[in-house]
Amino acid sequence: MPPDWVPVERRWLGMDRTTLLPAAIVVVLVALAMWGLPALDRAVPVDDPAQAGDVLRVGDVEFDPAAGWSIDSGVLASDPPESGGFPSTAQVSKDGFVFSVASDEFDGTPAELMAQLQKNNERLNDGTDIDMGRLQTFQTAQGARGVIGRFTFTGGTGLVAAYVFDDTGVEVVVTGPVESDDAQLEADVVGMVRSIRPVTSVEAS
Amino acid sequence: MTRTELLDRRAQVADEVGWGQRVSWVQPRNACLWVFVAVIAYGLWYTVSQVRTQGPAYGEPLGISAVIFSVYAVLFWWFTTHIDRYSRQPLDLRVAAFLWGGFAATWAIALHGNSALISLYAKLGSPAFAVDWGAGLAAPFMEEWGKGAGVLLLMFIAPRVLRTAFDGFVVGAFVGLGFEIVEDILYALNSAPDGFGVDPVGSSLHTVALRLGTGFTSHILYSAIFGAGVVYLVGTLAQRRRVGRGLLFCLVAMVLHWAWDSTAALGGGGGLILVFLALQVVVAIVIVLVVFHVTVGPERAAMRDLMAPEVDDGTLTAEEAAALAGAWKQRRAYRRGGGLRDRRRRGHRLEAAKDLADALGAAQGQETPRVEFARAELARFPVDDGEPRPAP
Repeated sequence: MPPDWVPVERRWLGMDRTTLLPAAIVVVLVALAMWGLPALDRAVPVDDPAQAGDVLRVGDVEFDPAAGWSIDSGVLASDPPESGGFPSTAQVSKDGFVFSVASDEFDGTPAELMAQLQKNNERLNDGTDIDMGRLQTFQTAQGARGVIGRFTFTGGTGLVAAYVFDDTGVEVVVTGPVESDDAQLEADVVGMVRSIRPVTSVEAS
Repeated sequence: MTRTELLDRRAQVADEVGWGQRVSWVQPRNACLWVFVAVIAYGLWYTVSQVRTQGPAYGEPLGISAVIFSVYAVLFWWFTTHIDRYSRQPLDLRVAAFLWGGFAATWAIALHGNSALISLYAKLGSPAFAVDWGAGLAAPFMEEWGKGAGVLLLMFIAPRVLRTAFDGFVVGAFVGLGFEIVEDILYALNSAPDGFGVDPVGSSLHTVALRLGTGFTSHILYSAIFGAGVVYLVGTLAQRRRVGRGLLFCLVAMVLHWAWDSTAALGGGGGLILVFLALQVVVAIVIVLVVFHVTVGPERAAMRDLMAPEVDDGTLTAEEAAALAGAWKQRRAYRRGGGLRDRRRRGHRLEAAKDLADALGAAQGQETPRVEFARAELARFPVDDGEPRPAP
């Protein structure tokens, strides 16, 4: 018998029966990874509303999420990981508004950081564009100066702010419904933008 | 044993361990082959789409890291091939294992599964819990199972070749190598935007350096252990099913992976991290050496049986046969056994004897012109004097 010949009594729907079980096991594993677990993840809602007094730490900076906003990602300063390292991104959201913060090393001014962000947009060429001609100075509650401006992307428009604390740069991106006129939400956003501060200043205060 | 019995045993053992057998890639009735090809095809498509998306933005770091890790891959490819010195796996099987690890286990299984699991840990536990333990509780399942799935499929695609636990060890190592290389390139690419993308090449090279330093004691090692475990779990003609040992090996690989991905949390974020890292490397190497010695036994026994007729007719000495089937220490002891002046001849004889073993294995223990030639090559270096004879 040729080595790869499959006798008729060993076939099922034309396939070699001995290969069906291992093939099925792998198909189940692939299906679980590609569809099963992601579907389960989507089905489990994020149920972590920010409480008054919560502080989200993002690398070496932190901010006060507005009470009632959902903490989509990020770690509370009061619940530090065992490893000691906080993630460098965090995101909160409410009623279609998404407020995200990213921090990383940066050597320069807030304006230079904003220019770098726009350079990244041009590099990625994904349709995101910061209106560099209409940037404004913005001040945090602790008096640190940053720059803030509007940007457009394929899904609409948003706000982007940039700060630099010592050697740590911070990028804040806010997106939301264009037609929204919810004054409370806008006040929440402004409050969160103003609350951004380096961790050391909090420890000192 | 009579000579006839020795020759019968040689043919039997060559068949048992699949020595010299080839893989057929035309098996339309083999469901494992269809799944294998389909999942790799998805992985290749995903890779191309990723490169098309990220390539224009971060082409330079992508290119540099790809070149560096390609050189790295060649180094480990050589090493893994070198340890497979008995019934060596054919090249196409090693390439297939590499492709599964690099394109199927990564993109089709690990990427999606890990992301979903870590997100679930954050929702059901806490974000801090996910930061500490998320990767450690996701990767051992999604990555080790994903890589092990490749060994499982190849066992049924190449049942005449992949027959011993040592075969699973070697094929698993090649799956791990593929995974390691592609994952490393992905990590290097993902780190390019770090620091707000000011220095994409520098950020990537930083990641490259970290991954280069930890390469051997991660995926290659875990997958080798897991691959051996899969063969024990399933069983073959040459390796009876040993469920307990198989589960133990798979579990050990997963625990090592868990410890690796949880180093920061285990070390408490302080200076203990380096201690844990060093400890893990030492423990992982000790374990893989133990697994190597446990699995390589049947391959060495097969080598002894394959060469026994050559010892019987004086083509090879018993000392040479023992060195050929032994570990590197035995080979070194044999080479040095005749003093400095005779070391070269002994080295040549050992290498020529290995060629003869390969030729005999490929011929399923039968006499062929290639076997005769390999035997003549061996005879050019006589058993007991230092002067080479002219070629016959």
